[in-house]
Amino acid sequence: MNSAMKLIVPVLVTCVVAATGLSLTYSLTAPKIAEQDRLAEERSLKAVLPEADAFGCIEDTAVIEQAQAVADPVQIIDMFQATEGGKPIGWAVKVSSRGYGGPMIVVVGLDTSGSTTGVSILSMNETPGLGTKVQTEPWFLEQFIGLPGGYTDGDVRALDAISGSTRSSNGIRNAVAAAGRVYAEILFEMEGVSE
Amino acid sequence: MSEWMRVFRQGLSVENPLTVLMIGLCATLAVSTQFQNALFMGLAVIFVLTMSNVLVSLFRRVIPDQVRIPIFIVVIASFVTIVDLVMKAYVPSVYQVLGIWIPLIVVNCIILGRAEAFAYRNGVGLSIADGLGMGTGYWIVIALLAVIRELFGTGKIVWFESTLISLPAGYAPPSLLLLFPGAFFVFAFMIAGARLINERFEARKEGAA
Amino acid sequence: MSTVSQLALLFIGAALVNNILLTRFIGLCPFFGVSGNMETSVGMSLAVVFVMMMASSATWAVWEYVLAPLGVGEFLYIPAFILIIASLVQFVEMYLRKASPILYRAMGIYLPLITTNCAVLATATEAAKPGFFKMNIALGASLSLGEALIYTLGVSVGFGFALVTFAALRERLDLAPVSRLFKGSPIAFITAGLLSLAYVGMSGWFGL
Repeated sequence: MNSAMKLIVPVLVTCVVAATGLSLTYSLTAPKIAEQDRLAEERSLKAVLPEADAFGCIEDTAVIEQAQAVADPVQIIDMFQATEGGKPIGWAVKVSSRGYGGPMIVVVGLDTSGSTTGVSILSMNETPGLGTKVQTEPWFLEQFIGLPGGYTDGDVRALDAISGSTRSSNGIRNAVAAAGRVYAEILFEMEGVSE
Repeated sequence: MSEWMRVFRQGLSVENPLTVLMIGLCATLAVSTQFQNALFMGLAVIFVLTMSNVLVSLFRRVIPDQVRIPIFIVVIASFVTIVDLVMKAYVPSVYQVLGIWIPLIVVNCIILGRAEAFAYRNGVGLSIADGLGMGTGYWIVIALLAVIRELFGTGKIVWFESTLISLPAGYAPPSLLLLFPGAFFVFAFMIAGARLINERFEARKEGAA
Repeated sequence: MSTVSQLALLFIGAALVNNILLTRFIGLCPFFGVSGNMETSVGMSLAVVFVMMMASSATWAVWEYVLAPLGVGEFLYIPAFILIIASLVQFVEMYLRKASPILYRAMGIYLPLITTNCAVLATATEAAKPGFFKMNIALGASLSLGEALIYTLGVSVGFGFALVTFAALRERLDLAPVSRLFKGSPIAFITAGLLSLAYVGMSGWFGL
């Protein structure tokens, strides 16, 4: 028993010290990490709808579920109503779409008529220098701006992909197409509803 | 002091973890698509390796032999988690790319290997030298690999938003270098190159003697 | 709930399309270390399938019932999972040595090596909290135990398949005339690169 204790005690002490140290580090960094996440989200929202001064997250789970059914296979993460001085000026749809290296988190901005105002990539895991061209080649994201309200999947598919990065390009195209479907089926009818 | 330098230099050359010992390859090949990411990965490895070496060598007399491996693992895993949290909080753009690989530093054979083979048997001073030397040896190789792959695979080297070096406009970069197979090819040529240099070096030493 | 075809896709995706060794670079140490001959690579593959299945069940349970409910998962999962795997391997080794000398002879010596195999940690983590390692994009936000096990089986079988294929190639390579500077590991890396190219060709199959 005594010899077993000699082995167990050092392991336990190490574990306790490690767990304490880590929870301390976590409590120090957690607010900073949350802040970074919030800043990143705010930057993308601002990028797609620069005029907006506030974004209200749509909390109604029934609406989110309906939107999810329409958006499939793209996953809806959040939907925001953008306002300027209290007046609704558009929507931002935050989705997770499948790229080459894993999920890409994309924010699509739409004005009140359903026309696209911008696309921004919040996070992705694409091959640097190859799949990441969807972000580093400015023309690619810019071509999605100004699609007319009620645009269809076909309209999005007609736009160019980046050669050699087809699957990353498709990830973005699917996200934009899904946002279009969500607008046509759900957001369109929510017009004028101020949150 | 000369002993310290000798241990430090060993990690860079004759015992280089990557080109000679060939351990810890996974992360090296995966994150070496971009110079910037490789630099941060190298820093993370240097930090974890040196810190775990210091702790293991400080407590080497009280760690029982039979349970040393679990204790090493907990120590290493804790430092890795610290790096993980700090990177997430302060360099989120780098963390996004390295995210997958930071937790995997735990099982990077270099770190457990050095704790077991060096720090558990040597004093703190030498263990620091070993950690820094091995870490820097790792850093140099991964950075070099990344420079080759990024420069020739994309035609330029990027540091955050700005371009550091770029090749002439007519250069059409082969994207194969950036894909997984490219990593294997470039690394194979790097090992062959390192061998050639070692051979020349040995030959000259013999010639001089 | 998942259908049989979804489970089949999960398996194929994990084993071939997103092969952990050749498309994700995870677990390369044993890939080069023990692929020198056929026999050892088969033993290693068996051991990996065995340990990964046990590790995933254990981490899945610990995440589901301990770490996640306590809210300490975010900063304790790395030490917790690696410790679970290390002790699991230790017990399996002790048990096998006593209970089944035949199995022990077949894979016993590979067990300690597996503790520091990143593939095991990565797969067990992915099975417990999916999406983290982004290894299989078909995975949802969380897996049932059954899905986690199918996924793990896929990854480990894919690992074994790649390892054995590579060992077969390397046995041939020993007989081939190779330039002095490239003999040994460099030519092995080039072979691995070509093998990896073949796997890159599978990307996009079944929309995975």
